[in-house]
This record gives sequence, C-alpha cells and structure tokens, in this order.
Amino acid sequence: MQFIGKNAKLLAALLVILVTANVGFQFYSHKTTALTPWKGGGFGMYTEPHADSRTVWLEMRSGGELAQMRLYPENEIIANWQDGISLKGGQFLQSITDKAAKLRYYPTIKDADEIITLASRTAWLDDLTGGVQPKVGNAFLPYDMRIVIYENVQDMYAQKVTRRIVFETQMGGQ
Amino acid sequence: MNAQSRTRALTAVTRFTTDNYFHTLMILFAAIVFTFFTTKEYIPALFRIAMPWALLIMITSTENRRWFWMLAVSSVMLLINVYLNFYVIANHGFVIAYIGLALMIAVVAENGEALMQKMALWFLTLLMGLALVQKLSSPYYMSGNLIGDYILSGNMFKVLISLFYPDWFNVVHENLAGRRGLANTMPQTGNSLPLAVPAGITILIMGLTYTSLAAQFLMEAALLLRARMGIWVHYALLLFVVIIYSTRNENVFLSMNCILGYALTDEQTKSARKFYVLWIFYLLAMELSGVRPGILA
Repeated sequence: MQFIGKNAKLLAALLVILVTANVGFQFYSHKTTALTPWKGGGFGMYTEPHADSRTVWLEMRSGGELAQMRLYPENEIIANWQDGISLKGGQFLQSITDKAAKLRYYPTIKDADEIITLASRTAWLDDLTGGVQPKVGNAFLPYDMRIVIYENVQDMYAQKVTRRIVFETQMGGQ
Repeated sequence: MNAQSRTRALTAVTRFTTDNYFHTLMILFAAIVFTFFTTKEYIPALFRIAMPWALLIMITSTENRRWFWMLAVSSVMLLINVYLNFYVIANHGFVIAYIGLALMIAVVAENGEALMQKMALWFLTLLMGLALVQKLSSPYYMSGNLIGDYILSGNMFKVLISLFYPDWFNVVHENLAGRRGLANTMPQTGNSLPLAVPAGITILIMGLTYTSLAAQFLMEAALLLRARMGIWVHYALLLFVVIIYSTRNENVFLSMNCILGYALTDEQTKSARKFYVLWIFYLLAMELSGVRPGILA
C-alpha cells in the first residue's frame, strides 16, 4: 500500500499507457484478423456489424458432396437431439455449440481445430448432414471438415443484406 | 412520506454526494460492479459470490486503507475476469477494471483527488477519442450502413419513426423475417436477401450517422478545453449520455461514463456531482429491472 502511495503518479501514468496499448493492440488485431471490433477492449463497438450477425457453419465433405451444418446461432435439430440423449452426450454436443458461439468473436485456427476434433468424434444425424454420408465409418474425418464463419453485411444503397465469409479454415489451417 | 421529508432526503443525498468525493466514488463503483459483475454467467461463480461482500465492506467503510484493500480485491477479480474472457466480455468489462485500479491508486496517493481527476480525464479523453478514430476508420460506419442496420431492423427509434411513417412496423417485420430466413438458409443455396429501404430513410440514417460523429467530436473538444468550459463540460457530458441512452440500451457502459464524469469534478464544478449520481442510479435501476421508456424502443 505504501509503495503504491509513494509511486502513485508513476503507476497512474503506467495505467494510462496500459489502456492505450490495449486499444492499439485491439485496433491492430481487428484490422489484421477476423476479430470483431466489439470485443477485446478497443472501444470499436458500433463501427461494424455486431458479433451476433455472424453465423458459424461446419462443412463436411464426402466424395463430391457437401454438407453444411449451422453451429451458431442455435441449430434446432442439434438442440432437439441434445434433449433426447444421455447427460454426457448432451454435454458433449453442448461443448461443441458453446465453442462455436465463442469462436464468432475472435476466430482462430487453434479454436476451430478444437471444434473440428470434437465434431469428428460425432456420428451426425442425417437430418443435419442432409443425407451426406462419411467416406468411412459413421463419423467424418477431421480433414474432410471445414469451419466457415459468415457475417451479415447490409448495403442500404443496393437494398440488400449479404452474407460474407469472415473466416474459413480446415483442420490445421489448411 | 410527505413532501417535506422527500425534499430532505434528496437534500441529504445531494449534500453527501457533493461533499464526500471518495466515499461517493466507492458507492458508485460498488453499484456499477454489483450490477455488471453478478449477472453475467461467464464470470466464475466464486467471484460472483465473493464480490458483493468486498463491495459491502468498501461502501460501509470511511477509511482509505480499507478502501484500498477492498478495491485491490475487487480489481483482482475484475482483471482475472478480463484475462479469462478477453474476447468475450464487452468493453465496459475492461473499463470498470481500469476504474477500479485508478481508484486503488488514488485513495492512497498524496493529493488523491487531483490524481483521480487527472486519470478520469485521461480515460474519458481516450475513450471518446479512440472510439471516434475507430468510427472514422470504418468504411461500414462512414457509409451509414451501421446506423442503417439498426434503423432498418427496428433496433433504433422503431416507435418514433412509426409516428411519422405508419407502415414502418411492416418494413421492420419484412427485414427481420428476411434475416431470420437467411440464417436458416444453407450458404451453398443463397447468400443475400433483399432489404426494404423506404424512400427518404437514407437521409435520416446519414443525418444520424454524422450527428453521432459530430457529438463525439464536440465531446472530445469539450474535454480538451475543460479549463475554459468549467461546469459546461459536465453538462455536455451529461447531455451526451442522455443522447446515447435515447438510441441504445447501453446502461452499464453509460454509467461508467458518468462515474468518470463524477471523478472529473473539482471544487469549482462539484455542483454537477448530484446529477451524475442520480443518472447512474437511474441507469442501473433500468438495467436491473429491464425497463426502457416505450417511446425509445
């Protein structure tokens, strides 16, 4: 306490520098990655669409076919499936959707890989894959999966809302 | 309670908050932290349980030493939460942690009030200035589409616009239904939808976009010229908070602007203190009750 009292001015200056550095780091990260300006402490809220306008999709390939499954916002089929299975199975599915919800703020290859790893341990229902079947067994291989994040962007002059890709990755960032 | 005792109660609040700078800051800090920190499920449960007790000790104490330790305890919890949820928490999660640290330093500093005023000025200037830079550097904001997004989806001035444009609810409904449909459409089958934009609405949207920029710029200028503006810088800040409140339900963030405004007051401008306190309690009461004036919906 005495140390802080004696060095109060210096500590106050360091605090102001810390705030500025954090904002600078967030600003740089937002401009160079898919980090939403709403998060990370950079005061960039109300400059770009909110993170809730982002949707997180898991894509699964098999032969020439493509299955696209929404992980965020809540997918009703996954939610219903979760309600009807064991507690442990439900928690497992919940962990995938929770990670997907978090991924929309600051998508990184590492976090996307985690979701793909969990998803590759799941035998997804036909209703979710649109009938597309895995090449082998009953689960898709991690390297046949992709995470894609879209963001709704409005153009009032062209009078349309477009869904643009803000992040996409395969296992290991390939 | 008769009119006389009501007046006396209000006078007592005014007197206490005007004359007890640090104690009032402790109460305001505790009220904001309690509202923000105990209601978010991503904050560790242990912290949510411990925080109210630290705040209780803080607000009932009159000793700087005890304030310091309770501020240290609560700031550590706020900082750990920032670390754990760096990319999840809103900006006010960062701001309240900074305010906690600033208060912790100021309560044990020599001439602590002057130091706190300086830090409040820095925080407000940085907050307003950097938010302005972020807006100016965003093509989406500058094109008007950000405000347009809120207006056309009924998230801003929905009721007010309907008073002048009777079909407004249908426009909003159409746009929201389209967005819901897009969220449920697989990307390989379609990635855009038409947007209903009634004639003339873009003028209102652009007007609001640039009014907001101008308000932020003027606020920044007022802060930088505070020595000349005196009490008027506080009235400008209070007006700024009212304007933002009329557009968005950002009560916790606005209450942090107000606590910084309070911290910025000095002997010459302390008549503004009661307004900050009343505004903070209004904003927090509205936040906790989930109530918002219907006309602003």
